[in-house]
Amino acid sequence: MSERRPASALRGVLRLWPQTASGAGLIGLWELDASLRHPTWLPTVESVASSWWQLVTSGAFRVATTSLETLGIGLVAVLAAGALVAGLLARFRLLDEALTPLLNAAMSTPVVALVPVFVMIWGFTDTTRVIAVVTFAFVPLVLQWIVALKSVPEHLTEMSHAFAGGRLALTRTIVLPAVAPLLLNGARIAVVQAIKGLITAEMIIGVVGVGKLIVTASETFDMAQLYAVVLTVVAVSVASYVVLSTLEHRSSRWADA
Amino acid sequence: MADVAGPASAGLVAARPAGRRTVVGHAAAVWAVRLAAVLAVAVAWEVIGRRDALFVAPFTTTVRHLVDLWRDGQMAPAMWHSNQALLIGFPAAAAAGLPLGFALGRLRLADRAFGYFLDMMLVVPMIAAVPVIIVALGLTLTARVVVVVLFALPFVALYARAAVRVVERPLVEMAEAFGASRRQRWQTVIVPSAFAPVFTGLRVGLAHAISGMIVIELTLIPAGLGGLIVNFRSAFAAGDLYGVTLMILVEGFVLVGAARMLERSIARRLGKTDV
Repeated sequence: MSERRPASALRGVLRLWPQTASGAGLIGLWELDASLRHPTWLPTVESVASSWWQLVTSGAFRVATTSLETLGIGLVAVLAAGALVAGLLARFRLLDEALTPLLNAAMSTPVVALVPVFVMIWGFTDTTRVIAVVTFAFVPLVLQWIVALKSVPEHLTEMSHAFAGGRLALTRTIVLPAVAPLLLNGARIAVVQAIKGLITAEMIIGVVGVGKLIVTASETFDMAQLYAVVLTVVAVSVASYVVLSTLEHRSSRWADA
Repeated sequence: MADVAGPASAGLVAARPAGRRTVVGHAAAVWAVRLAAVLAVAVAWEVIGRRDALFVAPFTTTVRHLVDLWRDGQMAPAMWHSNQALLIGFPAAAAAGLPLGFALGRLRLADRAFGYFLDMMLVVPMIAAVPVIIVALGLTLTARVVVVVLFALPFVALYARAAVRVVERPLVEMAEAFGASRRQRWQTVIVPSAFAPVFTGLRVGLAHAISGMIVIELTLIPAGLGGLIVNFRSAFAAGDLYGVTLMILVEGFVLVGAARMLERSIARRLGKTDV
């Protein structure tokens, strides 16, 4: 992690050779199977690539902007609600002891079953999707943020008081470093869950956003387009995860420094 | 990576108040707040439902419809139909996921080459893969089992990988130093320390398996519980729709709750109480 030398980029690629090899092997097998046996469910790599390019150039991916918009609104809402609830539960022990087991129990229920109920109430609207995003992300986020907010080491805050450290100094030197990595970890979980909620809602609704692209492609048996859309969803989710993980690592390194 | 599922159990650090009376008083207060919260949700649901009976079935109506669905014989076949996929799929996910996780945990090169696929499966919305599976396998039980396996397997495997990775070296060495036999080492150190995360993975995997079972029935195969939901929604039968939904939530709650209790009792027998 720490060494930085001129050829570090190349070195990084070389160090990742097992991952690269298995990924390339998988694509190779896919292409081989697709072009030799022509299974109905597996289009060739190049047909997927050209279908993807067509989706980009024809502007079909523009419907995805409504998906991203919904995701953004939902995330802001769930982060705000999560901060409020986690703050209350971390602040008041009684609430924490009473309600955290309920939240843990809620983790074990399949929230996806609630999506049809949201459709019943709000129809095929943006509200339905936003609510789905919020419900998928809320409980995991709150549970993680409670842990984060409770993780401030008490002996350090006492020491800060003893050395007559002000509130600002306390926040900057002790509270933030202790809390930031775990808060970001919670945010990462929330983003992953939010994307799952969004795609689930859109596929059950079937007429909006990325979900519409997936449902139309599968109903018309356009396998190349189906793969192109699904792989794009995969790429976006993985990319957002990687970005947030990097932020988290940065912040924990900053906290250790 | 495995923490996407959220904290397995946010630790409740028990207080140590001075006397017995305060302990009892504190427990009573905790339960009072908990019950008040549950009651508040039920009452709010009831009130909203009575105001807007077309789209929101009140709590009491939902429970009544749920009972009726069992009585008139609509629920039992749907439950059986849906749960077949879970009954086959979850054991299959465990049978495949545990060895996979153990292998990746012990073999570094294999983990570097293939581990990241599991990490990706955890992060990606699996529901997007459902149409591909249906085209490949049709509207069959096999397709539903595959979806259940895909939903549960990453969690089972990733927790198992973490479990065998972190077997505490110093503890094993200490056991050796005290002349523990191979069997004793496994019994007293390795199994107990790997048990908790492995079982947590199975429990989290079970919760996701139930989601998978519902997901495929909601998206493209209107059958079983998902079929009931789709029918009731298009018929605007709010009471029935809410009843089926409640049934699914209760099933997840009961199955995963039972797994949690089993986990605790086995952990206690293995001499580890902090699960």
